[in-house]
Amino acid sequence: MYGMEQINTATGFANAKFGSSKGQGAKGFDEPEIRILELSKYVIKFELLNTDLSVANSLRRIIIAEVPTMAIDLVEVKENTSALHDEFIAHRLGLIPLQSFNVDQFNLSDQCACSSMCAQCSVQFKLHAVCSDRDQMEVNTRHIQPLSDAPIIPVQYVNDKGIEEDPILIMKLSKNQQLDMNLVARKGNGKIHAKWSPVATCQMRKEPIVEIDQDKINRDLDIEKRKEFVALCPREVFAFNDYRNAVEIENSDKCIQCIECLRFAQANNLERAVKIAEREDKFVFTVESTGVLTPEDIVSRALQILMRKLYELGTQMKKYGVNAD
Amino acid sequence: MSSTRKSQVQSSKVASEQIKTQKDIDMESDEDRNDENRNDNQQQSRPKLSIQRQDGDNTNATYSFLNEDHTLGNLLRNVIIKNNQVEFCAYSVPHPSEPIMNVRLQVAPSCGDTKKVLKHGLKRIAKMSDVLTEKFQNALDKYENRMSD
Repeated sequence: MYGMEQINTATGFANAKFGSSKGQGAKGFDEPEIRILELSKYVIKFELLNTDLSVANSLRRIIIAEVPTMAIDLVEVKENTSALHDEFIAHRLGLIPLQSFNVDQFNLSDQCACSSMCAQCSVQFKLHAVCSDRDQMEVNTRHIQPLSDAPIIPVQYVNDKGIEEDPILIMKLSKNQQLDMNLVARKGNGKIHAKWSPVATCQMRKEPIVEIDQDKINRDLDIEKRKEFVALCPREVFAFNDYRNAVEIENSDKCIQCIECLRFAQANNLERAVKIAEREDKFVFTVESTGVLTPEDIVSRALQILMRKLYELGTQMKKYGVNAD
Repeated sequence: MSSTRKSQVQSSKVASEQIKTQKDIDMESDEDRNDENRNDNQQQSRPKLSIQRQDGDNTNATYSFLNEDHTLGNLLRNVIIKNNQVEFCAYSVPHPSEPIMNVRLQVAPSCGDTKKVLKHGLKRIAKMSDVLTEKFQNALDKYENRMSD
């Protein structure tokens, strides 16, 4: 579709899909499609079709930096006789993921009606650990005790078999060292600090297209060369079929556009026999949650944030008395 | 170990800014403090969207969006540019640490007003995000049905 885009001569800018009347739905744009490929406890993979790169990128940016979560933000150190200094521990505490399924019931601290801190904008914890009877002890997220009944607690990871994994290690204490801290978790988003980002990974990529002219390759190259062609791809996109002695496309999805295959084809006078490209209207998203929210929740929250953003701007536009209906 | 040592450590940018304002107030004179408060008030009442344009000319304008960045800027530009009546549209974020995003918009004289075009663009994105939300929910239901079968 993008290969034939119209260029507006006045602006020099591409004037494809949205401006032209063809290919538009009733809503004035191509109907986007979403297909979920994989969904597990921490990872979601989905395809976004018939949209522009800018839409996909906005979604990606919102997922990373604008979905609110809870994280430890204020640490009051009462006692720290460990080997690590206060700021170092505070930083580590801040990065601990906290289950944020109920993040909506909290206010951002700068938008809360209270003067400094209240139950509507903060959750209090206590971290007290003493190493008295052993040579060494590990302080982990199980030592963080909530002081209220708010359902915000450190994330407990569960592996594929449903068994709980070890809690996150915060630090170690040696004999006679102790730690006594009050912790305050607040609501925030990844724009303020990355510790509030709900995702470990949020990547999107265009789907690769790989095409080969099988007749030409299997006719013009001898068997050794064909095997060489299959072997040179670092991502194992091609396979060698032993029965037919022929090159086949095994997994075009793995292609990373390194153009090794194109170079080989060019060197063997087969320029037109191999084609690689990327689809411009299909994006494959991989979103991996840190455990603070479920992955599908992160994506639907991100879409709602985009909607709310535009709603706010719409009401702002009304103030200027514009009607574009 | 007996004496309780107290110190507060804050680990985010917002928090460190709070500390900074406290310090500033301690160090500065009353006059400065008033000045700062006034600035804070201005910051709060600053509109989410403001227009800079020449009087009497509605065919071009620069819109300033508060608290927006490339997330909306690129999306908006790409939607607006697809309107045939638009002669020029571009966005910029003048400085990464300022929460401002500008959109420059010039339309053909036959179109008349940039506001119309901007509103149309915003509406289109709103509709699309509406559709996307719905589609995502449908896709999720479909996937769950498939898994439970």
